[in-house]
Amino acid sequence: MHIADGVLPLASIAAGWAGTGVAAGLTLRKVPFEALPKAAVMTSAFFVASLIHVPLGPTSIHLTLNGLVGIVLGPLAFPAILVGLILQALLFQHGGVLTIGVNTLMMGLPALMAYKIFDVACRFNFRHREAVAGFLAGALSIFFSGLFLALWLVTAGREFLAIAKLALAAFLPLMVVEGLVCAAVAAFLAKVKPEMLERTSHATDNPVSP
Amino acid sequence: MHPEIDRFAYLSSPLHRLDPRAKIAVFAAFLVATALVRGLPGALLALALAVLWVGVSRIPLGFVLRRLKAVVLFLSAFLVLLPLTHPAGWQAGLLRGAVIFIKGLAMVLTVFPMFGTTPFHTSMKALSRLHVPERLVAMILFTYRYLFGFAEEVRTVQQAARARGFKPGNNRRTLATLGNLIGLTLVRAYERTERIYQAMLARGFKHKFGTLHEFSFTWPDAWKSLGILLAAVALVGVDRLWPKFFG
Repeated sequence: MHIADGVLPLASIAAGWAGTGVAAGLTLRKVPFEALPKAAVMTSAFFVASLIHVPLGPTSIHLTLNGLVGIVLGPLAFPAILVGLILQALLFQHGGVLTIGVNTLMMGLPALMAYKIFDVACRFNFRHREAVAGFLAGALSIFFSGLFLALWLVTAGREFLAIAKLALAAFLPLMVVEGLVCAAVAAFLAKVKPEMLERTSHATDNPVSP
Repeated sequence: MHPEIDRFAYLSSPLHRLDPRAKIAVFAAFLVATALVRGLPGALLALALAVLWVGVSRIPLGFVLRRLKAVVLFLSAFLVLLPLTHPAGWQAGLLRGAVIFIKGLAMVLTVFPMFGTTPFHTSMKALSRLHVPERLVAMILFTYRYLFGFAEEVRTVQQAARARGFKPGNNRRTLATLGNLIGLTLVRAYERTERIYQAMLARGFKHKFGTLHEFSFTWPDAWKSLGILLAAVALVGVDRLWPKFFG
């Protein structure tokens, strides 16, 4: 799910870079330099995990995992997604080079929302808490990414309105798949390595938490 | 997964010999110029120039074409859907779709000479010389460093799942299994972060990167950069002036 080069006018591209610059600056500046190699190792693992094929109907898709990145990395999810998209553009020529700014906003802001959603949901106590919170975070992050993509296209040109609507409709099945996978991963982590999901009580034990 | 971006980084061509800092800067200018193009003649000129860059770089065409699949698929959506949905009629839609398709193709082709003719770590050093924040460059390099190890690990985990009779299908069981598989990969990575960092400190990592490559900007670099920049300016010029003279 990226916008490739060639579609957007320069003004939308510049706005994307400006937003990404501010958000990446704010999230990167806060962390000590020691946290970067650790966050990078996790980014690397996420990048590889997002290459796994998931069957969907007659075809298969790659996961985005931006909700999961938000849950595990917190605010550092934003630079992590920026790095992931840069590598994807340079290694696989997916997405575009000029659109890295727009694409990072499109996937990074929902990742930060997913982090908040998961955090708030986990303050309550109920059965299958992590799975439900994980589903919400995963599905909503894709929903917001789709909304963002549609909005960005429409502001770029009114002739894109129909395409934006179609793209949004195509996102609905993706939302369900990402939500279910995210729920499964969150439940797995809660069982196997709960400190990866906790940022408040064990802040010092979590090497990648700010 | 191979470090495919480095696969043709050690060939010899005028673009391979161009100072990486200048290379990234002038091709970025060319990308911006292409993004400014509005009409079909400009888009076609951009594509011709991009093909020229790829030709000069001596990166094999077959390799380039194989990597275009994803972008072509994305751009085709515009080429097919715009004629059907454009408010000003199908002709306007087809023209718009064609311009987008050709521009997109030109821009993705430019990425090959831009980053494919320099070893990855040298490109990153050049980025940091071009004032991309140190922390971001550091994170890119670290992430890149561990990609291949994790890719190997994911293959192992997937093989283990297959050996136990796992067949992906359209059901919740598949998603749960894939979830565990991804979770396992993340836990392994997480458990390694601390040890990797300790190992780096033990080897004298001082929060700075060094490469042995020293940049130098010489007269041939200046001429080549100037040529690419002029092409970028000419591209915008042709795009803006064409309708006035021939439109």
